[in-house]
Amino acid sequence: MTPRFPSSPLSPSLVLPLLFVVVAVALAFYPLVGETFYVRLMAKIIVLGILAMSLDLLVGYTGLVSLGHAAFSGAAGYITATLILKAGVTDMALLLPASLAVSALLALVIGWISVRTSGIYFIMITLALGQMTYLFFHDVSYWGGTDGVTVWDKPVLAVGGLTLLDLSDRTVFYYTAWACLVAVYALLWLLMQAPFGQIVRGVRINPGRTRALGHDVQRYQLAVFVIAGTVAGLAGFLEVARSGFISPAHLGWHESAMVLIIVILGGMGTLVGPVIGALTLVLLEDWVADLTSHWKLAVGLFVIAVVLFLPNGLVSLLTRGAGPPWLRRRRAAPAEAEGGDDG
Amino acid sequence: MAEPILETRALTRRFGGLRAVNNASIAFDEGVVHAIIGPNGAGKTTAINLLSGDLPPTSGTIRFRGRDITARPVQRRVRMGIGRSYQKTNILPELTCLDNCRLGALSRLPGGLARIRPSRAARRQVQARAEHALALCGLEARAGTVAATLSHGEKRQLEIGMMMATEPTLLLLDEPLAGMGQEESRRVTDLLRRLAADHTMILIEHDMDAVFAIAERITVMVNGAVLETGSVERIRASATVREAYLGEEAEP
Repeated sequence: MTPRFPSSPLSPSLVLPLLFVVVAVALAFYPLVGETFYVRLMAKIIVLGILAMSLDLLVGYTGLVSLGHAAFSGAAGYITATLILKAGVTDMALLLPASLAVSALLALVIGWISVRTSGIYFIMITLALGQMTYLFFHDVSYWGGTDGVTVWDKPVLAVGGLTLLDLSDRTVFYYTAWACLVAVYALLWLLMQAPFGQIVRGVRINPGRTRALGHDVQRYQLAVFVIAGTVAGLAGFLEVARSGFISPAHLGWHESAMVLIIVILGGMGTLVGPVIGALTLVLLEDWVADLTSHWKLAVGLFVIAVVLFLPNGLVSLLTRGAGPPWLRRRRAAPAEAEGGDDG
Repeated sequence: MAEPILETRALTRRFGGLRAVNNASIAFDEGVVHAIIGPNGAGKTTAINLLSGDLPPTSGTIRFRGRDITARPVQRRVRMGIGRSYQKTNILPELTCLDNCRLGALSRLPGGLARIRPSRAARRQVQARAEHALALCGLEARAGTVAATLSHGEKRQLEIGMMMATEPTLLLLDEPLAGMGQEESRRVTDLLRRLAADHTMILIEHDMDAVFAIAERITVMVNGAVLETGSVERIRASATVREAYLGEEAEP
């Protein structure tokens, strides 16, 4: 489609999708060689990666910094857990659509309010509405209070009498989550290449001018908000299927901020960045926690160092600081064109 | 006489106690280049912002092709065929020139699914529109250049190209020659004259040579109010106008 003009062999439009392929293949083979503990950790990383990718759609691609993103994964998680526990539903064909619908609806409501604001006000309002969602699940006793909900049954996908997927089997879960990660990546990548994505890019760079070119900026922001919320809902469903547990802490702003840190760590405005960020943060925490009881301090210092020296995130190590162009304004004027939102 | 393409009635915009545009009723005829001139602070840019929808009026109405568009947001006016360029260069600096124009061309795609999976024909149409707009504003050779690296004059040209990519019939031009050197200024004046052949234009410009070269009708605004509207000759000859505005600048 778009004619590309001379770009270096390390153009992000090539390197980043390639990086994702490498990561995905590595994750696919890891269970064959890894220790059980680390395979489980990888499953957690995959789910977190999906959640972070969905947030990056807002933060990196649309320029909307949300501090309430965990509300959507959390709400979907609560619906999944509650349906399993209180209604005895384990049918994935019911649980998954239900949790996606709830997160999409919640994102529609919160998004509808939030996109009317911008900048710092957008951050504050997503934070406030996210915390309201947190308090809803925290304070209404039906949801189990601070203790949250623990389930022992896991979602099962069966057609007729034939069980296709039983997520209580850890290997089945691992590859289901892996397939979700790959599918989400592919779908979001296609979406961002489409006219929709080009307009969203315009919204990020210059919303006023994009409006004056005939585009309903708020509608695009809301559309991205709902898509991001729904993908977060998928992550919430998977998280409950993985851990069998959901609590208000999963919705709180701590969780939202952690996902935001993952996005920034890996590289905003790329789809593979959030996955790299999730890998790095979780593995680093695991490693440092073995060395010192002050592991949070060490991880914090690492995050600060990355933000200072690699403002485009870890993926920019590969693209030599190329990354999304709006993050390298300080560099000398770029001499050549290349696509911004790739991989 | 035919109905005007755009018409304002008693259009007023207040900023606190200031009436930036005060009770302005102007009719713009189809196919005509209509300049709005006046001293600094006369309310010209506010008037353009009201016409484009960037600002809501305090009172009064705007009709486009007979329809009341006073309450319509910017993006809907653009899709109706009202394009606008800005006084202060307003482009997407990180994108290539072609991608800047493409963003305008995309507004002509039908909504919904066409924006996620457009047909091959639609894709080609967007590409063709973007390229055509780029050629119109004379930046074909710069298609792949990142807009931030353009010269000031080229950015102003791109500004016009982006507007043209939305395929407007009515152009609102807010000082298209602002800050340009002589050579650039001449190039853009030529471009505007070419566009004038098949577009209606509402033009704000300080460069009076350009105004007299392109415009057919002129409205003079002073302190937010319309002083006089008429043909170029009439405005040139008008004693009131000379006194209020031209006089100061025409002094030898």
